[in-house]
Amino acid sequence: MTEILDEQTTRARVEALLLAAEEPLSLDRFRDALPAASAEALHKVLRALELEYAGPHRGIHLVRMSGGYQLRTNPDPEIGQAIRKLFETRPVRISRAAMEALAIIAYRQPLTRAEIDEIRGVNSSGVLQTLQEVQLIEVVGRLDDIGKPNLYGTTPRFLDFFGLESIGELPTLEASELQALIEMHNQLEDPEADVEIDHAPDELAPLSDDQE
Amino acid sequence: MKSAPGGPRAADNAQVPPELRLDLPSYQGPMDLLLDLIREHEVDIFDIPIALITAEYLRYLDQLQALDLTVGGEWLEMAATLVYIKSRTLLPPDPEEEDDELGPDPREELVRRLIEYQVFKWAAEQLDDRPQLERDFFLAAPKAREERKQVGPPKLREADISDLVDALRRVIEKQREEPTWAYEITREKLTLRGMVLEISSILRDEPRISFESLFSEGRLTRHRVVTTFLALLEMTKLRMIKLFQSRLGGPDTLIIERAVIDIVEVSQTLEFYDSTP
Repeated sequence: MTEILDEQTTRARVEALLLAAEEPLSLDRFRDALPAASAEALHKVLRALELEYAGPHRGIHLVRMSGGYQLRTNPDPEIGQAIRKLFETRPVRISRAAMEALAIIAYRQPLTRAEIDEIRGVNSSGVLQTLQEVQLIEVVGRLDDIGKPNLYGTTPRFLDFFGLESIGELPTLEASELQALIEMHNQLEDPEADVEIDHAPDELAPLSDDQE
Repeated sequence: MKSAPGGPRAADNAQVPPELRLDLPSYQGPMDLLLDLIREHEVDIFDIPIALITAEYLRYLDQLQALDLTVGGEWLEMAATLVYIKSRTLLPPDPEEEDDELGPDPREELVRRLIEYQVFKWAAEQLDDRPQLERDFFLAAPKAREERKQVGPPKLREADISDLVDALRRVIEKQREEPTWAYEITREKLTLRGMVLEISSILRDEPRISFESLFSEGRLTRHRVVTTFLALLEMTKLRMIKLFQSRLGGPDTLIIERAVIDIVEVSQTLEFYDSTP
């Protein structure tokens, strides 16, 4: 078996592997599965497929996730709605409180619950519980301090959940800080300022989901 | 519909008109409310009219209580902070007093916290705007697998302490001929903490490494082997890494896998007491 696959054959096989795989496939996994294809050919084919499986006219997109390449549906909300209709499921909703805690953890990890509470000004134990249940955060260690409090960090699933390749892909906090100041300064000319306030509240959990 | 109604301040429940109940916006907490008040009254964040904001804040608490809603401790704590700041701003500055806690302007710390909270509020929205799994996009998830994985032992199984000891023995066997093994000429200064950081930084770039790769040529001294061994034990205990034993029929290898994303940051927060028994 020392045949070298031509590009078209490689392409067909790569495409098939992508469909059959349950998890993102790294370049190494492709090489294991297709020993006859050269690394360059694999690279080239994957890049071509990435371009092809993209844009609004395709229902299936090829994206690079934390673990490698993966096929996923086009993130267009209408398409998502159609799929949920098919499955008869409702979307996972993360409450605003949980989202705040998650953002803090994503940027400041690893950190303790006390540090999260300090920033939010409210107790976060309920939302942390929820976030742990949906496997977006996990305990990544213990702080060497009184009571050895848990240190929280995001999970690999967090990256997949938001379609990120790495934590570094998140916009920098400096940008948010600027945005925050603009909003707090009430520049009435700034159309952005209203977006933040008039969030449709019925889409979000009305109260924080800290259980009694 | 965000304006706080100027309705009855401490009416009993029966007198609260139903529309008021609908009009009372819910906040994530005191910080959330303060930010909203600041926005609503169009005040300069760096020059908060503390009297006005405090009055408005207390009014909201009154409304909550009028509706028989429980007001959590954090709301009262913030109220106390606001009143305290207000009282300090009324006093002439005392040149004698060095108050570390609140600095020259007692509002400073509050402003810093409000800005920080606003930053994360915004970051949370950015995150929420991203396409999300099972909400906006879906993965090809075969519900039933006709093709099961090859029968036989799994390629990797979680390693236990005996696998680690075996791996250590293999490394030592390989190095018996190394002259440095018998005579340590230069004694490196190695600490457990340093070793954990070293392993972490390798794992930051490579999520999986083999145990052997930690002992490249010429870096094999008895001291280093022991420290590495202890560091791996410690990191496993802290769930920073996972150890797997490869079962691929070839030579036995012990695989070290990163279990946290920010492994370097995590390891920097650790403290060890390097005691040489």
